[in-house]
Amino acid sequence: MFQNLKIVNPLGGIQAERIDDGVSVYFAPGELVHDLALAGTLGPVAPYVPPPPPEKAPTYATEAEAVAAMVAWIEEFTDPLIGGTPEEERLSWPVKEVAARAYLGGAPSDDERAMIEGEAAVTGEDAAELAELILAKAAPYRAAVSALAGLRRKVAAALAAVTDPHQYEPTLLAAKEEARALAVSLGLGAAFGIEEAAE
Amino acid sequence: MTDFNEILDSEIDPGSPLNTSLFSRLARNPLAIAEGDVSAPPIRAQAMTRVAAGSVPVRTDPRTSEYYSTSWTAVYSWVLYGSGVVRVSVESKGSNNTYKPNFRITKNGVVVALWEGALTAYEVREADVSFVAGDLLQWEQITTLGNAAYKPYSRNFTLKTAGELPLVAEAIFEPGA
Repeated sequence: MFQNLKIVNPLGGIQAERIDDGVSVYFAPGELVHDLALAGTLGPVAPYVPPPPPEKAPTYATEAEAVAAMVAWIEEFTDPLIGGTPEEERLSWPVKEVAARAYLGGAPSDDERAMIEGEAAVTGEDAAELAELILAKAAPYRAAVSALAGLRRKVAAALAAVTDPHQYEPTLLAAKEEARALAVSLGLGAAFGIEEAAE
Repeated sequence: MTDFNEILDSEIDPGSPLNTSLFSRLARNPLAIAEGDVSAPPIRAQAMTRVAAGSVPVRTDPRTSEYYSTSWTAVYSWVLYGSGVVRVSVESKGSNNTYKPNFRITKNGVVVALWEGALTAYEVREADVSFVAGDLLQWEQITTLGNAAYKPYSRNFTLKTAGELPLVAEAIFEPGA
């Protein structure tokens, strides 16, 4: 007749589910049917379980929030490497590197020559010295961004695999440590403003 | 308005005469009660109606509540006239199959039905609840984590009987969202 009997309040009231239609009924203390239920006549009765205290909310509730936090942190982390350069100028770095390489190779196109000599004319630098400076900065920059791109994709995959939102924050913290270690291993600790641990 | 006139016990003792005055009061006093004569005993809320629980939806509020809190919160309340047993029926679900919400029905603050671990598909949850006039029945929900990503949903707040219409003095809805 009844199933899933359980005590649902501190008074000892019993909730029972009717088998034929699934509707729940309540047996109040003092009622004969409550006594019968408590005696086990209607089936096992689960004891009262007080509600647990609420869990602390995770720092990041969803994967999207964690990914957004990761991207924001990467931008902050790479800021020392960029050195306050506007985005429009950063977008020209790959082209400038090719131009500098061609200039030092002795066969730049007109555009490539204009790019190097145009900047040197403003700063008063020697164009060839400027081209060497560009290449000297380009190599570590490329190493850093490629490593960080790989780390970002690895961390994004780790965040996508998380099932408990409380694990988003530890995943990101571990990723930050890995990013710092990567920068140091590439000899870019100083560039990223990271103090290497004394040995 | 018909006047209510008292009938003394001595007038209806064994052997008391059956006269026109007595029969006139017997005939007219019910009219006075129904018309609300100030001298007549009032119809109490308890007597307004008496219902039996059944499968006939007699009162439905189709709105959806998305209220989320890590404390039990009443998102729908009924204060009823009359007496009897009414079936409270609500569709409810959660948003996440790891952190599932719980739902319950309380009568005057006492839990009379509890459902734990709701999944992410709507399910009808029903319980027959006895009541007397003035009882407060409430549908409550609680979320495991206090974040909009884990909110519970409740909709189609329905009272079902065998066909009689319960008199609802007050119904309060808390939408949340």
